[in-house]
Amino acid sequence: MNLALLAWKSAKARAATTVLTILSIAISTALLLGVEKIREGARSSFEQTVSGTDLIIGSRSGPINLLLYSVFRIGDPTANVSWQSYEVFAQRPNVAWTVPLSLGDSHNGFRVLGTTTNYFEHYRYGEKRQLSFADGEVFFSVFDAVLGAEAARELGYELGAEFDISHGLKSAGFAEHKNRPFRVVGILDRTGTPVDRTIHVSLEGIEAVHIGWNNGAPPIIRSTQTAISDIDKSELQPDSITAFLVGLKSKSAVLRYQRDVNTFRPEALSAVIPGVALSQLWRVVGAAEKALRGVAVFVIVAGLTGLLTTILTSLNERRREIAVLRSVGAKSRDVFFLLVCEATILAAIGATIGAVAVNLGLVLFSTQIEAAAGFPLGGFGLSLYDLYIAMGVIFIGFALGFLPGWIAYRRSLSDGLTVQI
Amino acid sequence: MRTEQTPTPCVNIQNLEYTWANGVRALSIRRLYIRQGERLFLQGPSGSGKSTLLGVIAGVFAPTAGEATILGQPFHTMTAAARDRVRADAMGVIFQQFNLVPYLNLVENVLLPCRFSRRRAERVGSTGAERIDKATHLLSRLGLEEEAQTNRSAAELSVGQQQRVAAARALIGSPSLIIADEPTSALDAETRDAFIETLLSEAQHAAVLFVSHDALLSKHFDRLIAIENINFSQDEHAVSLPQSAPARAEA
Repeated sequence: MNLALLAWKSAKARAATTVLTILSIAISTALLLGVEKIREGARSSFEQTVSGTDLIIGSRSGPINLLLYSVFRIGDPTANVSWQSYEVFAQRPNVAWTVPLSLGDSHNGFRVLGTTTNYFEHYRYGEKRQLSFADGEVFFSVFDAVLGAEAARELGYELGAEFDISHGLKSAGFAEHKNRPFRVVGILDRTGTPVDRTIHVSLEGIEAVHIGWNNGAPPIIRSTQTAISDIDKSELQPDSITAFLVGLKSKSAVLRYQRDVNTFRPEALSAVIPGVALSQLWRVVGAAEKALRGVAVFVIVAGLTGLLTTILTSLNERRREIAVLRSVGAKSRDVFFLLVCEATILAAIGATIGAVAVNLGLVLFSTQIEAAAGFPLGGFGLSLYDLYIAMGVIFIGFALGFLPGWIAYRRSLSDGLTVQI
Repeated sequence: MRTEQTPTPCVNIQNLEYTWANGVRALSIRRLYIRQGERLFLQGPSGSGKSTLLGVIAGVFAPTAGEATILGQPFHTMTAAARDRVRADAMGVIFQQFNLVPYLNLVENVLLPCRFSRRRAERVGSTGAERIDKATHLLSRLGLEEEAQTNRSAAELSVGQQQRVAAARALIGSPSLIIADEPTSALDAETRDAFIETLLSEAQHAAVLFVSHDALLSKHFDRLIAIENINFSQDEHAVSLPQSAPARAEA
């Protein structure tokens, strides 16, 4: 304790180098933890997003692409699934439920998802949790909308709010579906999945705003637009959807059902098992993650090398100080531990600041980070992993302190009480 | 060789040899004896082995051969850590200059030995506040009243003031032996004598081993020994180490 106090006072007396050393350790620790946290957050968020779904079916594409656009709302589908094909597979005997998904429209940057009420009943996230309503209820009529928690919060919409949706993701003036006011009838509880940033409407709603459109382009003459009241319900049967989720009655049927979809002759379709697609995704992302982590580890090494440099360069100017300590009774061992203490203290302060800063930063800026990433990041807050990394940094700092400690120890033996300076 | 002298001698060196790791022999002393409370002036030029001898007496260097019983402790058989403890408990050391730890204030510098010896700390005072009080008191007696109270940092003091702080540190907690290695060589002639007077009067019952090349200062002391008369003398070659002795031997 005595030695730690002396070491701290000594470090404090060299304020500039001490602060810079601590800063470099803090930054490198924060970087390593930050990389890991965003990685973990993304992973857990992805893994939390689909559960209870046996298969995701869309037009023929790679499993990762299908998974990303259907569930995570990242990227775009290559083609649609025709309504006929959907009906064929939805009516298979071992199908427990299906949830059709129709994407492609947006409102103020939030994706609009056309679906059926099955979505609210069968979609599961996290530990097989069902969607629940914070306010209102499931959509009922054509222009009813159910907002994800984050969408409602950021848009500031409450029940009864009315809005338009636009074609595509960017709000481009000319392609807006004007005069088709959707009305908020329900707001979901927060889930920590892309559902939070999604606006849910009925398939018919999506269909209704596209009446009169041809090949993805709005009607040219304004008068040809159909008034809401004129829309005939029978017209609202969609021709196609983007993808659909399937729940089967028995898990043993999954592989056969998947093969049937993949070999379906009338239309080129793909069926993927969410877990399998996710693990493929992790394999792809894994290399990048490793590289990132490698960089972060090297930054830590650089930070700790800085610590060692600082202490080693201070040794010469402290030769006198050490001789004085020896003269008042410090053992050579004390001199050794004085320097080890100093290295440990600096590493500990740096690691602590780094860990706290990265957590604070992620909590303070989570909204911005999530908005930029496009998906929610879970698992913020000090974790056991932070503790391990911080302890690791401190331990390495402690171990590095042995080198200056040893040099000072040797010197204290040969210098005796007098030092030529 | 037992004598009838009742008190244990402060320093009792017999047939002491000290050889550096590089094989250079720095000390060969047949006999050196310092009584308790004795004020001894050790005179000699640099390179004569003075510093090495002080290192042995302070317990920093272990004798290569022979006996060095310091304050009743057989240093020649003890571990380095045990010798360090004796130094912390019962010795005070003053260097030529740069005696103070720059990042500690004056009182902390004076109380530095208390960090390494509980026994010494208890002799100074039973509580931290009491010890600080004692240190401030001692500094005032050495003419540093104002400096102690304003708690100035060591770097703000003149060399003479720094030496007095070092003296206070050596004196704190009533040590039995004070080793002063050329403590006045950085001082001017007027302050030199005053410093020695103060040191000796404050040292009370402690033995003082005062090293200097300046024989004029010996008038303050009970006894004068020239190092060349005891190192490598008598039965050995009666010569001092040549001036060209390796630097390490001087250190």
